Amino acid sequence: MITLLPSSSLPPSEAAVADRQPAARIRPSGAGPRRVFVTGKGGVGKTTVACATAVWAADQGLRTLLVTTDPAAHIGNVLEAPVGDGVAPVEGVRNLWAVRIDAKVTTAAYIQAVLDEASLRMGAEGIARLREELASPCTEEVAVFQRFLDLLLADAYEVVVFDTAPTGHTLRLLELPLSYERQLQAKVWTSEESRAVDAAQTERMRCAFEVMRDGTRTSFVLVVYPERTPIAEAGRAWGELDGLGIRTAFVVCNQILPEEALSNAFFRRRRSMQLEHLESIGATFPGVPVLPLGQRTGDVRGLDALRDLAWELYGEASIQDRSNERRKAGG
Amino acid sequence: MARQLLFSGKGGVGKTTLACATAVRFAQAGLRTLVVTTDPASNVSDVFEQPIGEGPVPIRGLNGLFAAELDAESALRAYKARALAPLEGVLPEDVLRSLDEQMSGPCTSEIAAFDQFVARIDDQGFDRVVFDTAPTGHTLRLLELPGAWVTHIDAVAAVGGQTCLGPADALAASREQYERALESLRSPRSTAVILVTQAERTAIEETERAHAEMVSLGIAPRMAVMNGRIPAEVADNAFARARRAMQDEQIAELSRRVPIPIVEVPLLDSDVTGIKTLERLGDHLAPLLELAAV
Repeated sequence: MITLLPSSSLPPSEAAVADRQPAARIRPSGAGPRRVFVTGKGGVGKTTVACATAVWAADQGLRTLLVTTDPAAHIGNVLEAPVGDGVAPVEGVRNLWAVRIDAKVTTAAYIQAVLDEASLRMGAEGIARLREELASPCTEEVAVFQRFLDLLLADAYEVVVFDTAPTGHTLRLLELPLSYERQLQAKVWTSEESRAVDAAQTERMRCAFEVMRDGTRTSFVLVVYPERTPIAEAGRAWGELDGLGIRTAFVVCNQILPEEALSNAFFRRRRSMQLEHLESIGATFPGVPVLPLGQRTGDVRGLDALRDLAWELYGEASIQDRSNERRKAGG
Repeated sequence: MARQLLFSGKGGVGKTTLACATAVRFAQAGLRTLVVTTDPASNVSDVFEQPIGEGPVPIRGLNGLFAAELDAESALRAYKARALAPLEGVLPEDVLRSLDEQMSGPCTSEIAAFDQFVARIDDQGFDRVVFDTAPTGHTLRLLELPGAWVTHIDAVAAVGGQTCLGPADALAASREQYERALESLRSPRSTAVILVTQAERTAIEETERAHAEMVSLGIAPRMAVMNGRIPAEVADNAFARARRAMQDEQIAELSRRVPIPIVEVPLLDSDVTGIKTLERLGDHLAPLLELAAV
């Protein structure tokens, strides 16, 4: 297995090597809980990587919370254990708790709150437009992240893994001094109460940003697969976060063809193409470690499959061992 | 018989390659054909192995084939500038910054791109036009609302902040142009919308959602394309056989969720670049070509 690392003319110091190991970016580094955001476009494998990461952390003896936005039926199948709307232990894994945030319900509540407030000063036509604008996917991101904030800022767990992450756009929106609702009232914004609410929100976001920008406390893990469009899109997403001072801890490149698939020239050529894309990921994300993850025959289900995946990502081989493997493989 | 084809689907499923492969076939059948893309990273120049630009530019190696890139980023910048200029000095600075950010998301980019795209619909300079993207239901519904076309500044200021659309008179297209475009999208004699997907759970769920959304707007997608199908002849190991069987199930699942024909397009052993490779894909696209009477 090849692990691609940023090129360097000097051998990395031991401390730098230990720091770059993905496992080190999942464990807490001593300054409170480790938050892990797994980010990437739909269909790349975020939920699978998030679940495997959470199970792995729990298996290391770390008190771990998995926060998921996936539909209940699917996450239940992945973990082969039910996950509900309240924090509860996950059957079959010590040290692991999970909570499911229903994105649709959360978004509907958020939209209703905005519309209720707006109806105090808008006519029917304005409300109709506002309702349609609020139907955008961006609203869901804002609403879900607002729910995440409490879990992000809490300290009851050693590791908290989120199976989705806010985009740069969502974060910039929330960072601005006026929340969406408030700027509707911009011309009449004089009440103490509304200023107090906004000040509390601003403070929450400031704390959240401090946590997210601190690489010792938060890891953003970007999942892609080895094709041009997903890599380009991920590159843009990474650039947005980078512009906010949020670094990517490592990239997971999913769907890599395993050895057993290479029985004919067709798959050998595809694998070759995938390796070229893997190399290009290094150029798209300078300085960010890239981990290949093998394609499976179907959806990942059950703890055995998740632990197998986690071993591929976080197995404790040192970076030096992996470099040796790569040299032996002629890479 | 549709004169224009729109390919809809989430990023990475293969819209651009399929749009280009279809366009190649049209051109080879003697039809003057234009490929239009709004992709900011424009894959079309990679696929045709030549620079494109605003165009339309002729594609080397094939008579009658042209391509045009709608510059989505400059469209967005112009759109925001038009939207915010009248509000300078009218709304407080921090509200303006908030509005600017509200309009910097993917939805506004889409509206700005669609605004440009409206001008290209029913372009009579070509026999066939192929778009490697399609507007979402969200964009279409937003632009359908009467408020989208209000131009009075006071009305805008009274409504206050907006999200995706922004204060209304940023739209360059007129209401009439928009309505003609929507009529064209709804008419099977003008347009065929094709949903592109892959054998993966979230892609299929997204396809079902997009189908329902378009139907609710009076636009009936005509076909779905399941891209990346493992050819039977290369499934000579257990891994490939298992994945192909999984794809069989996903196709069956898709057919339960959308009432339209599903065309399978094979996985290739390389990236799709160049006319020769596009021709290989074209071998599988007969049902799509029939939509445009080719």
